[in-house]
Amino acid sequence: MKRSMFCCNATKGLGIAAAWFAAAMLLSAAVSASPRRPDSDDVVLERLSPAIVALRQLRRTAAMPAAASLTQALANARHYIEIGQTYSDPRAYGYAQAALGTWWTADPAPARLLVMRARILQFRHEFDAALAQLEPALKSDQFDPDAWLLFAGIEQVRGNVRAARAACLKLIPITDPLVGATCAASTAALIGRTQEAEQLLAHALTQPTGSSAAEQTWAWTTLAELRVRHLDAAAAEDAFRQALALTHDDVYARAAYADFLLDENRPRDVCNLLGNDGGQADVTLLRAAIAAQRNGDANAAALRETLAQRFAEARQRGDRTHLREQARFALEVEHDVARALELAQQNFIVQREPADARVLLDSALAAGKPQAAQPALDWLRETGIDAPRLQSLAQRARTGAQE
Amino acid sequence: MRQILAALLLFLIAGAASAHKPSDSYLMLTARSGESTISGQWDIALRDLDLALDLDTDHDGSISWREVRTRERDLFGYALGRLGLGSGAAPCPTTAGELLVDDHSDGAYAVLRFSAHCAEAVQRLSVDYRLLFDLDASHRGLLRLDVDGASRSAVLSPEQAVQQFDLTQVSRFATFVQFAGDGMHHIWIGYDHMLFLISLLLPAVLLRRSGRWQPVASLRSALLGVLAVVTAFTVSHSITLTLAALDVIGLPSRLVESGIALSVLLASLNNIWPIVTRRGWVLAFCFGLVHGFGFASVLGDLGLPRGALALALAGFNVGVEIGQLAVVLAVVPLIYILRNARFYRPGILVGGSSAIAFVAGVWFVGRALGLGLG
Repeated sequence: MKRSMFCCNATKGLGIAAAWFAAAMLLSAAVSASPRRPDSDDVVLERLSPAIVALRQLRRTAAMPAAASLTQALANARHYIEIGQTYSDPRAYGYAQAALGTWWTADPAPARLLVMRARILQFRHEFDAALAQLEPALKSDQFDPDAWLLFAGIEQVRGNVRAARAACLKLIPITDPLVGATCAASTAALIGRTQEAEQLLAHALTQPTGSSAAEQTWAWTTLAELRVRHLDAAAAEDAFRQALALTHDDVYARAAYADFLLDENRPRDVCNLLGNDGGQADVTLLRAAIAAQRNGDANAAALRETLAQRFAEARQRGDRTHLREQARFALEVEHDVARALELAQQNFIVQREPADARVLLDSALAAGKPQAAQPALDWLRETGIDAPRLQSLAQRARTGAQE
Repeated sequence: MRQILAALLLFLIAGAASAHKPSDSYLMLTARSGESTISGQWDIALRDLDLALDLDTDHDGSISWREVRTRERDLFGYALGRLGLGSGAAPCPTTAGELLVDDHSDGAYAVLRFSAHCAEAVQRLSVDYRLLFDLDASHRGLLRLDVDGASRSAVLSPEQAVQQFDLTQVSRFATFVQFAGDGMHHIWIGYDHMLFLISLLLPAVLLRRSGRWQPVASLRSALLGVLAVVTAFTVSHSITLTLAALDVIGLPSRLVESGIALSVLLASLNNIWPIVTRRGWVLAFCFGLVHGFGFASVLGDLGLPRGALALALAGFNVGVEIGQLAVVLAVVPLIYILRNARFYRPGILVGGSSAIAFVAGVWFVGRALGLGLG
């Protein structure tokens, strides 16, 4: 409560002064932090987030590092990944890999081990390596819904809509109807059948389901995104709210809702949705930073600085998982169009979803180089996606490229 | 307001460890060619150390300085036990130093300072890194290795846990560039050198004839004057910089610092009540000797690499000259254009010099008496 106060309502003198002070302090803390010896024993250096507490508890109960059996190791890894997904904590995937111990490289590997490895590799955006694990797994076990869902997800992120769609169709008979419907709907929308997909999914959401809260949140978020693409703002917002009512801290849903609000030119609502703390996932922090900048909020500089530092650290370790976010950051926060275009181009080689096409189109247009968006234009033509906003950007790029 | 500040302080002091970043540690090793001791600083996230060592002993979901400080031996033992440094085939045993804390973008880190002692001057450094890999396979050690002021970086991963670095091959060019950058930076932040130079440049577009200042007629004669002043200053401070850096002569820093302030004071006063008018370069040469000692003390603070002394010295000097040239390029065209303006002599030459003289006077008194006024 207190924190969101100075994000969104710091409009009175003292509040502004305090917020400026805060921004300056945060900025200086972020930029010029230097090693220090705390004055008192009671100084609290670190508050452990719920994710860390959950991971610690798991570590105490699970026999780390080496589990006696593969079944136990896989169960431990799965627990870590569940925590990682819930709290969007990348370290959890490192713990999961460590929990597999020597099974990480064991060859030959049973299908369930291959799927687990693929899941961890997928998280690191090592899509080719993940598929190399998944393909033999799916050959030996064609009825593993988790494997098909993972396969569909990877192919969708890579922009291979047809392969993703085929995987979703395989999935439908062997999984909960809502999960199958969400998978199918999200790919149907990419081949120009948004309206059918929306109806299918809306109907599936009225049926009783045995799916988990996370899966239902995914379904509602997908529905919301279909409606956004169809420019049905009121219905989309309703679906986003349903999604967040189920799982309030779902990072993907929050980021998608924030994008919708930014497109609707409601940055203040983004602020209310995400709060202003710099300790959130990169994807939501990016949206908070864009919103704060558009609002002219006092903490805009501090959020920008935090993100810049995070991306710098990611580059240092050779991590390329958030190129899309980095491109948007360069474009919308730092207004460095040349850099944004470069990042968006690199990103589009690895990742080809509507959002990736969008940032490439946006950057190319902003840089005055519409021909640089050619890969996105080709992809849009191949898939036939019906998203008016994206198509109008594409149209501008096409006319710009011809001139 | 109080609520905001309270929330803020809480946020500043103990930002909740956030869950957004894979685990990294930052390992900085500093070596000098020709020396056998390597100094190290290792920043490791508290939440990572907690994973391995259960730092939160009171289980209140937070880590206090007490919980870190009281485990100092464990922390050093755990970390240094997972880092093997070696020179050639011989190991370089490590000694724990100071324990501090710092913040990175994802929370608080323990800062472990240490030193490694090799049997002889290190030629080939091997780094064997094993921290946390058994618990977190995505952990990485981000190594920065500084040799004679030039740095290189490497990422230590489970697949590449052991790496070798040839210290003699660390680019000489990089050392040179590094020190040139330091030289430029010093001119940029060293207002006393800048003001001294400006004091000498201000009259360079004028000529003193029969007790009065006249604007010079041509750009050529203005540039010749500037060239003479800048060359004299460069030659003289290079002489003392080199002699002092090589420990041939040395002066107490208080004397040098007050001398520099005095030079700025006298150079600016000379513009108001001219004594030396025709040969500004003589003034530049004499006082330049003092400034050279000032540069040498900065260079000393930077830590000169023994194996690359000449290179570092040359680099630093080139940097100083580039910085100086930038000041000249910024000031001379402007004052050349303004030299005929009616306000140039009262406003800029006398007014500007008075302001400089005032600042230099304050510096001089402060430095000579050790008052800490700058």
